[in-house]
Amino acid sequence: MAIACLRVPHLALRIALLDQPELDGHPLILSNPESGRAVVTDATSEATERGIRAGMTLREANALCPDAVILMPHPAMETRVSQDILTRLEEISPLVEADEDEQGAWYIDLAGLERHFPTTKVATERLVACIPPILRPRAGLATNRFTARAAADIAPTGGIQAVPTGMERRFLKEAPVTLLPFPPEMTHQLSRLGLTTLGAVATLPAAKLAARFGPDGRLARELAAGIDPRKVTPRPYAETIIEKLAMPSPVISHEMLMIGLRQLVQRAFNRPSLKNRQVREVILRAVLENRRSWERTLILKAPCGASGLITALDLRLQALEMPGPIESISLQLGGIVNEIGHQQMLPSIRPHTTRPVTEAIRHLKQRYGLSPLFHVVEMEPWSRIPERRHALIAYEP
Amino acid sequence: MVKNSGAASRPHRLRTLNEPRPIQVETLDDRPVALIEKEVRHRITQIQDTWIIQDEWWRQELFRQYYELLLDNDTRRTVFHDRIADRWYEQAY
Repeated sequence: MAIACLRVPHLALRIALLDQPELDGHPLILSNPESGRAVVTDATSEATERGIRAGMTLREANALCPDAVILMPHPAMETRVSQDILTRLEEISPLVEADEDEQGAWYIDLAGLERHFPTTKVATERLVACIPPILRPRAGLATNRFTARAAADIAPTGGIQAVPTGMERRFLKEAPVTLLPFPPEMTHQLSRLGLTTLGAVATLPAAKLAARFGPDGRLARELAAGIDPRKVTPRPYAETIIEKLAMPSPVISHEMLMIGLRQLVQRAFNRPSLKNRQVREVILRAVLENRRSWERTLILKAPCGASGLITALDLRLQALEMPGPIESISLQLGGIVNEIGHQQMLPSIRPHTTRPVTEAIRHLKQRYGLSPLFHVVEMEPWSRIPERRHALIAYEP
Repeated sequence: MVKNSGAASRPHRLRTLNEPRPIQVETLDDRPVALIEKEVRHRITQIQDTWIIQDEWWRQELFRQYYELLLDNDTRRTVFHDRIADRWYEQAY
C-alpha cells in the first residue's frame, strides 16, 4: 500500500502569486486588518527568515522587514484553487482526501495506479504536476498517511521524499511531536513531559499514553511508531450547481446585488438537472475590487425552489454590509433534493374549533367576570408525589 | 345539567390535580383489611403492591405508605397511610 501526501505550505499566501507572479521570492505576509487586529496570520519562508512570525503585529513585522508585502486573505479564490486541485487529483486517483484540519494538504491512495504508471514515484510526480509550480508543491510518499505527511514536510520544492517500506519508524525518530495531528495543548503537554520527538513517544507503552491522553494517546503512539490505521477517505459525491455573473460595473447596493442574484437563481433553476428539485444549501461568493473576495454559506431551514430561494436570499442579505464594491458573484447550490410536498393545515380546522370556544369564554367572562374554563398543565411530571405532577390553569385561547 | 358545586373557580391560581381524598380504612396489625365508603364496608381481598414515599424532610415532611388493593367487588384502589398524621387517603398513583 502506498500513500502520497501533497503539500502546499502557506497556501493562502501562495495563491496570491497566481495573479501576481512578480511577487514570487519576496517576503510575503498574510494579514486581515479589517478583522480588527492587524496581526500576521501567516508568512512565507522568505519572511520568517527575516524574523517575522505569526501573531506578530504588522508594526513589528514592518520594523523587521520593511520590504515585506502584506496580502489580504482571498477565501473565494482559496476555495476555488483548492477545489480545482482536488478535481485534478481525482482525475488520476479516485481515492483523494483533502485534509480537513490543514489547508493545503491532500492524501492520495495510490492503490491500483501501478497499471497506469511504472512506479509509485512516477505516479506521485504526475500528482505533483497537477499543482501550479508557483504554489511550490511537494510530496511525501510512504506506506501510511502520517509518515507521508511527515515526509512531505522535508521534501524539496516540487520534489518527492519517499520513505521505504519498513523504514517508517526510523524515519520518524527525530521528527518533532508537533507533527502529530492533535491539538497544540496535547503536543505541548507531551513536550512538558520531556517527549519532544516521535522516537521518544514510540518507546512508551501504548497503555500508559492511553491512560494519560485517552484514545488520542494510543493513536499518537501508533503514529510515532510509523503505523497509521487511518484510511484515505474520498469526499462523498455531492451534486452542486455553480452559476457566475460578472457585474457590468462594481456594485455596492443591496438592490443591485439582488438583481444579479435573481438572475443567477433563475439561470440555475432553468437547468434540466434542477427541474422539479429544490436546494437547501447556498454558497455565495463575491469578488470585490482590489482583488479581495467574500464568501458566505447559507443553510436553508427547508429545501427551497427558485422563488423561495430568492426570498430567503433577500431576507438574509438585508443587513449585509459588503466590505467593498462587487465585481462578480457566484452562486453555488448544494443539498439538492427532489421537490418536497408540504402538508398544509386544512384551512378551516383551527378557526372552526377555536372560534366557538373563544366566543363562549368571552360570554362567560362578561357574565361572571372571570373565565371558568381551565386546561391541564404539567408542573413536575417526574415527581414521586402524585398531586405535584399536574395542575389546572385558566384557559386563555 | 351539571349541579353547581358552589366552589370558587379561582382562575388566577394553579389548582393541583389528583389531591389525596380522605377515606376510612379498617386495619389489622397496621395493615388495611377493609374500606368503608358511604357506610358500606368493602373487604380487601388482596394487597397487590405496597411502597413508601418519604420526602421533603427539609420543610414539611411526607411519610406515606401506599397500598394497591383489590376489593371484594373486584375493583382496584390505591390508598395511602399518612404515617405522620396517622390518617388514610385515597389517591391514584
